[in-house]
Amino acid sequence: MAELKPDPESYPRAADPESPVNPGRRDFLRRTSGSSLALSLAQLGGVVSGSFVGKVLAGETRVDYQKPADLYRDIWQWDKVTWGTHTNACVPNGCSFRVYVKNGIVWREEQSMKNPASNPDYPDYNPLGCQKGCSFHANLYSEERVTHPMKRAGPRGSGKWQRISWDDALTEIAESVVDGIEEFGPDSFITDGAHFNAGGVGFTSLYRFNSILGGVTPDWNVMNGDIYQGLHDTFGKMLLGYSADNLLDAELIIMAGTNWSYTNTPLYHFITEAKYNGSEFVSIAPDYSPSSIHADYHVPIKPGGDAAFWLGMCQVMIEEDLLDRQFMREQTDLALLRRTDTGKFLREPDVTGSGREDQFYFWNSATSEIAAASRSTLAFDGEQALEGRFAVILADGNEITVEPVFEGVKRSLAADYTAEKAAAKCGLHASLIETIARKMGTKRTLTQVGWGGCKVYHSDLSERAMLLASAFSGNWGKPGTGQTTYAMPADHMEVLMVMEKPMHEGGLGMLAKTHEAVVKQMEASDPVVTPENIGIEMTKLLTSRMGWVPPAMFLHNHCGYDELYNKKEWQDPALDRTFSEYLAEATEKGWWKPEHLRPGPGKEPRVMVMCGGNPLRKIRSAAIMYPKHLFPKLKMMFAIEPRMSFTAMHCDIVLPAAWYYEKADISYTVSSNPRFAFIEEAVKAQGESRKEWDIFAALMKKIGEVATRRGLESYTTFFGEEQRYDELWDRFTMRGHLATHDDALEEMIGIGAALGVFPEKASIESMKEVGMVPLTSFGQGLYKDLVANEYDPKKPFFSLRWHVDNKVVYPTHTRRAQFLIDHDWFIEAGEELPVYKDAPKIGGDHPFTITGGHPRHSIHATHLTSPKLMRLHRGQPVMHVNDKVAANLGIADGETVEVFNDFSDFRIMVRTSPTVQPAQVIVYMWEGHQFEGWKVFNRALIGQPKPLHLAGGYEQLRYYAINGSPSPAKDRSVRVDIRKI
Amino acid sequence: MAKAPPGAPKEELKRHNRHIANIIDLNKCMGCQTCSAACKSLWTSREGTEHMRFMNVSTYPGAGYPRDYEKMGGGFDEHGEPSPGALPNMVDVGDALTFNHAEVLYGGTGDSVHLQPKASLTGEDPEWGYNWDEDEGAGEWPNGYYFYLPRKCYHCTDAPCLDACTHNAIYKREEDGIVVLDQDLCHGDRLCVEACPYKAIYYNPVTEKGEKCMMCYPRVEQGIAPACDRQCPGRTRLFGYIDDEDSDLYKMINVHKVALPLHPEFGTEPNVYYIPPFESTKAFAPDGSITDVGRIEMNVLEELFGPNVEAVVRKLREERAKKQRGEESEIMDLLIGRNFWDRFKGFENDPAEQVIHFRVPGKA
Repeated sequence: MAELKPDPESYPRAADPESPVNPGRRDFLRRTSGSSLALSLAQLGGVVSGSFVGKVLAGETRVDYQKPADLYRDIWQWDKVTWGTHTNACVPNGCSFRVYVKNGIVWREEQSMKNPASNPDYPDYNPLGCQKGCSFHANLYSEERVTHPMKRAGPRGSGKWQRISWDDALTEIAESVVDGIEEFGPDSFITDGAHFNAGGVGFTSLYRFNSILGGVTPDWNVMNGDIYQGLHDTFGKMLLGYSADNLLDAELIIMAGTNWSYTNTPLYHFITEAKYNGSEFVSIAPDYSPSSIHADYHVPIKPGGDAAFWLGMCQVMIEEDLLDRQFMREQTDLALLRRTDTGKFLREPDVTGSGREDQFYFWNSATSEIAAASRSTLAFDGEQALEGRFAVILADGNEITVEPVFEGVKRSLAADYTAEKAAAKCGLHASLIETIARKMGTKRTLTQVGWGGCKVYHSDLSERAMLLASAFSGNWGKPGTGQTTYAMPADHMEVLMVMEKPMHEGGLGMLAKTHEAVVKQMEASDPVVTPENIGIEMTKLLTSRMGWVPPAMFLHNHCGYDELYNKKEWQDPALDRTFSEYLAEATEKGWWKPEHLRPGPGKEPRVMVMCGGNPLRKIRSAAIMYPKHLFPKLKMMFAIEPRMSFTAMHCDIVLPAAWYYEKADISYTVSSNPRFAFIEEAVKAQGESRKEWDIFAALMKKIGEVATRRGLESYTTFFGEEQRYDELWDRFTMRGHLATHDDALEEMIGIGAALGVFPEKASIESMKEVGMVPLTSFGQGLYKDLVANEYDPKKPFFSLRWHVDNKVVYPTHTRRAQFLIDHDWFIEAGEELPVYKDAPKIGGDHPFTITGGHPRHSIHATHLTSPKLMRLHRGQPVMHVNDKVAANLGIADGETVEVFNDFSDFRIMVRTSPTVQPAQVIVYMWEGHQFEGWKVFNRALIGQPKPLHLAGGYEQLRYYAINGSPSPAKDRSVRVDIRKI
Repeated sequence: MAKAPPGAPKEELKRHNRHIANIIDLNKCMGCQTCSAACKSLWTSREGTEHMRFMNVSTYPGAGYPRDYEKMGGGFDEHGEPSPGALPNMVDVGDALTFNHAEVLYGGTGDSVHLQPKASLTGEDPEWGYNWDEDEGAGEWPNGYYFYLPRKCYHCTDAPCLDACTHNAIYKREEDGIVVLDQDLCHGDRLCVEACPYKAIYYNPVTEKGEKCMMCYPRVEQGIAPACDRQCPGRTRLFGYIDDEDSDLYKMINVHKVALPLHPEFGTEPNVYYIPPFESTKAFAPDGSITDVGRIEMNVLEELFGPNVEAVVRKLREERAKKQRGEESEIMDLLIGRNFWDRFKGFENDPAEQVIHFRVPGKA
């Protein structure tokens, strides 16, 4: 059994920067080591030759410099130029590039720069792109590249490999899949939820494979922690983004927990240009971040202190009478009546003795009586009281006192969140809160929370508080407003994950039928359902059918995380039971159903595929918990990857995937960068690598063959259906219609056109012509109702407009933007209204809060260990520490230290700066094998979910794909200490 | 072919009919390194050039690139006399770190070996490298500060490198003033490196010649803006002929006079101009209260841009205040630059199309 080493002759190299030091370089060192001040210029005296000047001036002699110039002119020649982009793992993605090829090698890429402005009043979107996109070609030829199927030749993670054939590899995997299904059913098959680092067709094929096989996949987005529970609590939805040029319509931009300079490079100029256009920019971040440096005001918030800041802002707006009362009355629950005895809403059964639990009331000041709050519109004929106390006689004859929700909010703010008190809670000076509150109370303000902000333990409270300040100042659903970095339009990829028949055979009809069934079922129990309610129910249904499950429960039930989650000292002390106890209670109440808790009781994971993801790096503390608890259960772990990731290094079999420029593909889109970019197959895939769709199709076929050989015919899915083994390939490829990657791409483009998100008649051929197409609409599904605004390519885009302009109700329990969550568990936690709470000391009582997020020089892990990108910084992990704190600890810049908490530890180089908050350390993302002993930093991050988010039975407390359920990535509140080595 | 012999006329080598120029807006730069990555892919991926960054970005205050270049001399003194200069060494120019991927990924050593950078010359842990002090800055919490400073060859009108070369290997192109280092004439003495106060010339140890930013002249000749300028996602750049009166570039430099050269005291008349950071984040007072004063003090900017910077900063602040009051400001509109192509007047061509047009049959 020969060990596999990379064969340098097996693929061409663009350049070989790793070549041994040559004598020339040593000579250079020797000759440059002296830095004596040579008086070179003084030696130049009298060198001009008069005769030469004369000849030149007379035109007799010409200095010919054309030949040497050819060095650079020769470089600037290419064999062909193709379209490209780098999609899926990257948001905003869709930056259209040109890919420059010479001698069969991609040497460079340059943005295509064909991105128009919405209209001439706004900056156009050129050039887009970033240093990662402009260096991507180097990844194709890197030593990290996986070029042949490989099987481990030693223990998992030993780095000992042998090359095997595709057929042997697929056969081994298929045997394991069949073994698993025969033992525990298809719940034995786990798809690691990946955001995907290799394109849209591959992404689709991964989840289509899982869906058809009947496997389980922990929701990739929730696993990443990219959920805004506070936005769900308030609006019943969360992706409320805008187009980047909408920033120019804001007078005040407040961004919290986000670092566009690192993470939204192509769109960052819209911030600086909005400033030139007259808006002010406020950055809320614990450190003076690389995006804060362009802010007019930096809010150096105590990590996790945001809710106190926003509530302090609210109190200033009350004190200084800066409220938009009509907006509050109409758009929110602040005018809904609440019983003073129970603290809960006044409901229809209270008033009439029967009726709906979700029928609520206002006090109509015009008539001095209660009025039912419409469930179908926000419009109200009368005036909803925001203040006062009123007597109401209940159906049982008792008289009670009620008051608008705003009264309780006011009491809470006055008692605990004056600017002084709020400032003390979040580590600020009151003058900063007052200054910004006055601006927000008088300006069109964009209040945005980033994907870092939502990873704080109590980030839901921060979001609810932010939205309260937005409600007070009337700042949503209008030009220049926005809550999140982007919204996502209807997706050509998701539809292809679930379709059973191709488009030309009416494949979309299945979705229409499901839709009709959902409508019928919903209307049977509720006379007033909105298209948005229907869309959410339908998405819940499809989510289950695809085998997507809330990841916190998967980690808790199958990966040993109950050990961590049940540590009460790492939990909000207001909650007196353990995570396990809350989960059991919630399950018993029916809030979580068996479809959410797969693999179910008595079943174990047996096979896991990792494709386009890197769970050991991504999932908090997985580098400890997976090898300890999950891997021993797995008979087969296989990766389909273009690069040898930290996780692939631990797998049993690694299959090589084609990468960008090696397969045609199309990006998805987000509202911030509203276009779809096309990728051409510029060069052949390296070595034996194949396109993911083709790999999954081949694996489906192989599973059928293996089962047939063993005499097995079928198995039962989670939903009780019989699935024939020998029909898996037929289903996956729609009976051969989508046998190949290119077939699938053509189908995806057709779906996009049919849904109205691509231009009509879009095709691979038309894409090759133009390289990209603009987003044309948010499609026909749920997405358009979530953003609640028509997308118009000629105008900047913002969300929530239909609620404000057309008085459309929200998909919440009260059908309003809701600040009182009168769920029993929320009352138990003291969180029925937005409040500030200190985060628990997750990881133990240590002096530093660790924060971090996406790095400047990589999209997730894709470029973390790319030599080209590593040469743009120190080439190794660093942790940012306040300069004075480091000095006090006797730690110098460049020194390697040990970072530890009660759970784990790692070693990392320190970088010092006065821009880091003293009680904070910052570790942006790094790859696992960059750390000594492979002790990756997020071993220590735990990701403690908030048990309150197990609450259900309340309209907006729900899970569907990429939305809801406890986030297992709450890592921005973790405590650590530093030890000198 | 005539070659300029030792003792050639420097005036002749400096002669040019027109001159190109750049503006870089530091208020927009996010330090993303797209410019430096774009440049590197195109020009310095060859053997012997790996350590070169014709285009580079550093955090300021900081050591800069090459390390401590501002302390290495060069340029001209106040009397116009050449100042002595020193040579940066391989570490100062950022090295080209190497890594042990094959060993870690396939070496069979498991977690006993991890991925590490090595200095390419010594094989040791690097003590310094490109962008080493990224995001560090100066000041004291909570008033720490920094900004990013992108730099390249300034294609100086009075280029000291050109004067210094005893082989006349450096000249300005007649048609656009781009300073080119002739690879055939260069003897690798590096007198030019000593003379350049910006240390924008690099030594290629394989060819034993100097190399430098040539302002992407193969592109410029085709009406395409330089790669670093065109590919900058922060839209910090303008490029064009400095005498093109209809251009945004001309208006900012010559009409509104809000663009300034870096280190004018070096006396070389650089042709890359900067919009200085004019409205830094508000500082906190010693008691923690918020003030209305920016945290970057004027002397920090004066050290970079000379005494004229104060008036420019004042003017730019006034112009932004106009926009905040809802009034018009031509200067702010120029800085926004709504139409990307207005930044590159005369150099708007698409390289993808030009390349196909330009290809010379039979050439590799």
